[in-house]
Amino acid sequence: MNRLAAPLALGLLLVLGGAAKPATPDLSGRFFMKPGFGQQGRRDASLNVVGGGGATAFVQPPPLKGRYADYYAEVLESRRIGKPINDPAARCLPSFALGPFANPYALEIIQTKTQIVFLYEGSDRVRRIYIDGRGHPKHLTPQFYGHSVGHFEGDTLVVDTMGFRGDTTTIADGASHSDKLHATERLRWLDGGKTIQWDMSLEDPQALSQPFAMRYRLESDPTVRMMEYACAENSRNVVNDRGETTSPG
Amino acid sequence: MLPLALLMLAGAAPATAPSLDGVWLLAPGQGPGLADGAKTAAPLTAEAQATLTQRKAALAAGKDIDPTSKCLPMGFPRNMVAHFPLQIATDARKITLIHPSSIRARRIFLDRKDHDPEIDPQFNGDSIGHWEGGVLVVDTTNFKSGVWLDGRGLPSSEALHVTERIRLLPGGRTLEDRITVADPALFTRPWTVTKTYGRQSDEAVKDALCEELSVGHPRWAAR
Repeated sequence: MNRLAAPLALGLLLVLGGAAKPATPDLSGRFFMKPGFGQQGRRDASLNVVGGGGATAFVQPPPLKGRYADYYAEVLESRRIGKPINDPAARCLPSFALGPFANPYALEIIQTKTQIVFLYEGSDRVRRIYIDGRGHPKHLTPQFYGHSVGHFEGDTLVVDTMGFRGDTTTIADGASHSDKLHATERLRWLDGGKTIQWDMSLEDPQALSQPFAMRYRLESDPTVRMMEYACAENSRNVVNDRGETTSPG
Repeated sequence: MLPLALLMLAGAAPATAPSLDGVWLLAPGQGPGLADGAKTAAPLTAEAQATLTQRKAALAAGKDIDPTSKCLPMGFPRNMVAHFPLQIATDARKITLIHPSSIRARRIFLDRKDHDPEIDPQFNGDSIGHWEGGVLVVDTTNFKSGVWLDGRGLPSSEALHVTERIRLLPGGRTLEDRITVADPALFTRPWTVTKTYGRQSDEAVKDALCEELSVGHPRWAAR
């Protein structure tokens, strides 16, 4: 082994060793919503799945209260009459408070020593979860996706999020929340990292009468290329003079 | 095959490669123009100069012709001369630069040596990189047309080719990016500018949504 090869071989051993026995799970990868969940497929009645757009309803509706319940009734009625309101995504703004789910776009996860970054292809969004033991800042600047800190419990990443902006994003399909929203997520890696089981529990003393729970599953797809998504380009399919459109490809 | 595998791994992450991870902010006076603070002016072709002159006149006349005014992405390299916090995050196969405004992620792939021929032109182009000692050398092609090269209206084209030499300066508090732009239609010769970025708190990255500022948010409580 020559002088160059020796350190390279050592590096390879370190790389392989690091991959085989990580100190914490490495969640890095690219994922898609598992068929049967969210907008891409039928709902699983045993779970509660939200949709990101107007077409998906809940298995169990969010237990809203007060003006939030009244407003959600308005949202549902507006859809019934064909004049939908409160769809932030229609204005290129963040919709679901915990990131774009229930869509046919990929999610890339990058894990560094201090944080886990979610890069959402759909709507071009970013979420960060700090995993270096820090807590929430005393004075939080409200953000669309709040402020997230996480830690590992075995093969599960437990995430605590607060500091949301009220009356902006939704806790599900068209249902708004207050700035008191508090989310607990448990991301469990199954099948050797091929599947993420993503449990969410939302609490909001102003908008919810009890915690609202949902579950998603995502599947790993290492072949996917993350593409650019510029909502402001307003890309749309061609509509013919009969009002019909087709999906390209 | 083993020596090749060793070389590929070494190219992806040699032991000497420093971590560029963190949040960085362009030093004052170095943007939003590529030429801001640069030692040399852009060696523009006559055609490119005419386009730039036209844009500057329109801007001076109060016409909002900047594509980003419609919330279209800055694209690369313009997003390297914007005064927004820039996050860098490294994983096994790439280094990702995350900007606060769209298109957020620019991925510099360390695990392939060639540009991807199958992807459409991108606002950020297609970036591949490798380490030369402590310097990350990046090659970017496959740009979309109609994007401004910088915040002062320098024109760009699909033929744009950008190379970068990115490194940490001693002490680790400053990131340097030597950016060389080449495009025969725009520049009479390749043009190099050097930009520096100061390290910020890693929580200095916040939402920056053009769409919200432009069209207002549907704040239903205030309706």
